[in-house]
Amino acid sequence: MTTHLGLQRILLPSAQVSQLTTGAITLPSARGSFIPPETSGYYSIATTTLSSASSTITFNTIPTDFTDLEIRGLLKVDYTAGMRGIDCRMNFNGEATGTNYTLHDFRGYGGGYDNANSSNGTSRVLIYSGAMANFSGYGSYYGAFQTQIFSYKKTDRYKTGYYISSSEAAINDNEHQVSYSGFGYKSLDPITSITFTASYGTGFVAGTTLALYGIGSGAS
Amino acid sequence: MATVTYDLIAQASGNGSTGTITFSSIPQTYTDLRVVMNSMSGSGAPNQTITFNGDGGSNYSYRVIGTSPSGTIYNTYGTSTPYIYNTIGTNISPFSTSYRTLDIFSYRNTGVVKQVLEVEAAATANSTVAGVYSLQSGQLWRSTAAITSIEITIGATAYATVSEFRLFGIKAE
Repeated sequence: MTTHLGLQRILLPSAQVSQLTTGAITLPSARGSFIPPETSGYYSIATTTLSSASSTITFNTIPTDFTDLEIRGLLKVDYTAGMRGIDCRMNFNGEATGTNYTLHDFRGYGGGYDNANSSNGTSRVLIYSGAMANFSGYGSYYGAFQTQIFSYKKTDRYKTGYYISSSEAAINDNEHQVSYSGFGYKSLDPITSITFTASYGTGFVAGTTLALYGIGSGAS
Repeated sequence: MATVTYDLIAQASGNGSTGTITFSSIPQTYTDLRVVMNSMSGSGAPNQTITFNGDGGSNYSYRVIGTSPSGTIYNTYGTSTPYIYNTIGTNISPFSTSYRTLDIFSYRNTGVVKQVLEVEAAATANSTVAGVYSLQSGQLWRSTAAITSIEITIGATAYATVSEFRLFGIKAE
């Protein structure tokens, strides 16, 4: 059985329609009262799967039809000097300088863990262990990444979100690495573009894939 | 143009007599899968494991991080076994189940080893509201085979009837 979720539309009684259309409410505002301006449900917006290496991956012109955003995918970076998961960067609206990003990262690797807070601000959301390094013999291995960004188009608040990432490390008997972080973006601008950059190496290899989804509450 | 996705593929409930839930014949039409489960054992505090395509071998690795109800940091990993979930709640009323979501990436792509990201709020055995572990894990199934079945088991112990399991499909356009 296959069921689409969250597609319900609110159908108002006809009596209310009649009441409003004979009153002082103009048609555009009346329409806004009946049809939520945001799409309701979980939608696939765009997908990038690299056919050749690329230093960055960017989602541009993100539609404003939704409440929140989700990005998910598998990442691999053309870097072989290290033997562990590779960090990546996520930036919004092309802003890759300054200190408008904050991050509280909790990650496990090797025999230890980090519980770090960049409360003073940084120039990016650092995605720890988000990508797999391009080791020989690990051609089918990728790092997994998922993030949700809340109220991405709201102009009355800074933006917040979280991510979780994981990758295999070809060292220490194939130990696994995982990171879970909350982040903030100190901007009131709607997020209209999101860019991913590898922190090491020349960029993402062919086969790397990221998909952008929109989650709509149906509310205004 | 955005396309609606996130489809409920299948769902199941605990019946009080079996400790295994299997999603089989998973359609090969999506990009990723998401398993959402809110589970509790009928008695005791058994371990719970999740395997793919009936593979009970050593082809798994994982790392779990998080904190216990008392604030103890968790950071453990395994290199040859599935992640063992050891806090799933017990059948004490009022119920306190353990909630988990597992995202399985590119599950039908035969060019990639399978990655799983998981987040959980795991109730302790005595089912107190304060007794919740906040955990996150990354898991790996070292296989490029398409995933056609998912087995969720607590072995000989049965899942309580309040347990719920749902499988969703997410399709990238």
